[in-house]
Amino acid sequence: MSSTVPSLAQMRASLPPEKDRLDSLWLRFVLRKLSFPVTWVFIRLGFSANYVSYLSMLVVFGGTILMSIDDYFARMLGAFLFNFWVLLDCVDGNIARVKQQVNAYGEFADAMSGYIAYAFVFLGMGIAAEHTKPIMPGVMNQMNFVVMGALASICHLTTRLLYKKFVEVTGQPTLGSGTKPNILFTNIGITGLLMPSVLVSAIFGWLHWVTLFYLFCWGGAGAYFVVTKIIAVERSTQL
Amino acid sequence: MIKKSSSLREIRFTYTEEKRNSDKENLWLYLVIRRLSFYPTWVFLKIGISANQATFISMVLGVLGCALLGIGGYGNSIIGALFVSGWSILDCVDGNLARLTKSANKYGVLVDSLAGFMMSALLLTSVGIGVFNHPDLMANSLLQLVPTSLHVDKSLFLVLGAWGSLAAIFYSLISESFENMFSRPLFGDSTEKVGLSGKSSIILLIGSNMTGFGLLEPLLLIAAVSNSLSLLVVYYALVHSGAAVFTMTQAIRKGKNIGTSVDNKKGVHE
Repeated sequence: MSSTVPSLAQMRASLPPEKDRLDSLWLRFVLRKLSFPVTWVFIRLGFSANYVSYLSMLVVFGGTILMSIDDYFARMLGAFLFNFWVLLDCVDGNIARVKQQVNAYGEFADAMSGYIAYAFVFLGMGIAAEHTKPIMPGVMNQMNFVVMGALASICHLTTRLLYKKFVEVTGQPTLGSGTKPNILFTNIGITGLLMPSVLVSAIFGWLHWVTLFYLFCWGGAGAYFVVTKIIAVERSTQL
Repeated sequence: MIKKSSSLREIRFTYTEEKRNSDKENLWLYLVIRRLSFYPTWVFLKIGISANQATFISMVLGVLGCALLGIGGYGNSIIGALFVSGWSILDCVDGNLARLTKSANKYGVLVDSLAGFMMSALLLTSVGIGVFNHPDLMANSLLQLVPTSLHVDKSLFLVLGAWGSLAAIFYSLISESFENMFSRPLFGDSTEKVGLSGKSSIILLIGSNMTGFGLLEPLLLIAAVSNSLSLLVVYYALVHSGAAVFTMTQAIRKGKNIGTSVDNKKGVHE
C-alpha cells in the first residue's frame, strides 16, 4: 500500500463524472464535498476502503442503538451517526478510486453496508417514533411504529431481492441509472433525503410521520416494481 | 400441450435427480410435502390448471393463511397454519406441472420466486401480529422472563415477528447479491452439498432446516395446535438473527477470496 496520501484535488479528480451525475442531489452538492477531507483523514489513519465499509456497518448499528434510547440527546446522536454513515459510504468509494483498488469484493462490501443501513435505519427510526409519537387520530393511535419501521425495511429489502431475482432470471442489466424511478428513489433514499430527514424529524418530533412516509414509499415502490416488471416479463414470454 | 391423461407415475417421473437433491436440504419438503404434491398435481392436470395458475392459487392460499394468523386466536391460527401448508404443497405443484408439461419459462420462475419472498416477508410478521392480538399462555410466561425495568409488554411479539421476517429477507438478499456479483452461490449448489461428507453436510442440513421454510410449516402447525405461537416467534427471531450474521460473515470471507483482484465488472449498488 502506498504511504503517500493523495491530495484533495486527486480525490476529486478520481470521481468519474458519470457517477457524480447519477448521485442524489444531497450527495452531489453537499456530502461529496465533505467526504474528501474525511477521506484524507481515513487514508492518513491507514484505513482501506473495505475497512471503512465495515466501520460504516458498525456506525449504523450504533446509530440504531442510540435511536432506541428514550432520550432526546441519544436520538440526536443516533441521527448524527446515521448521517455519518452516508459520509462513510462516500469515503470507501473515494479511497478505492483514488488508490486504484476498485474490485468486485469492494463493491459487494459497499452494497452490504447499504443493505444493513436499510435494515436498521427504519427500525431505529420506528423505535424512536414509538417513544416520541403524540396522540394520533383514530386507528393511527393503535399503530406500533417499531413494526411500521420494520415493515418499511422489509418492503425495501424485499423489492431489492425481487429485483435481483429478476436480473438473474431475465439476464437484463441492472435497473437503468438515470431513469425517472431510479432518480426519484436515489434522491429520497439512503444516500438522499432519508438521513437528513431523520435528523430534522428527530429535532422537531416528526419521526412518526417520516416512518409512515417511507413505509408508503417502499411499499409503493415494491408494488410498482412487481406490477411493471412481472407483467413485462409475462408479455415477453408470450411473444 | 398438456396431457390430461398423465398418470401419477408419469408425474413422479418428473421428479428429477437434480430436484430431488435440491429438496434434500429441507427434510419436511423432501419427506412429506413433495410426495403429497403429486396428488394435487394430478388433479390440476385433469382440470387443466397451468403451472402459473397454480402459483397464483398458492399465493392466494399463502396470503389468506397469513391474514388468519395475523388475526390470531386458536381456531384462526390453526386454519391459517393449514393454509400455509397448503401454499407449500402448491408451491411444489407448479414446478411439477411445469416439468411435466415442459412449460417452464422465465415468467414462471420469477412469479414462483415472488411468492416465496412475499411469504418470507409476511409469515413471521403475521404470526407476531396474531400473538399480539391474542397472546397465548406461553406469551405471558415469556414476558415474565424479561426484566420489568425494560417495560416490555405483548408488543414485543409484534416486533419479534417483524424482526424474524426482516432478518430472513436480509440474509436472502445477501445470498442473492453474492450470487449476482460473483456468479456462484454463497453456500454451494445442491449437488455440491449432497456430495459433502460427514460434518459439513450435517451442519448444512441442520442450518437449512432450522432457518427459513425448513421446518417452519410443521412447527407452525404444532405451535398453533399447542397454543404456543409466541415461542415460535421468539425462536425464529433468534435463529434468523444468527443466520443473518452467519450469512454476512460467510459472504465476507468467501467474497474476499474470490473478488479481490482489481476487477470491477459488475455493479451491485442500484
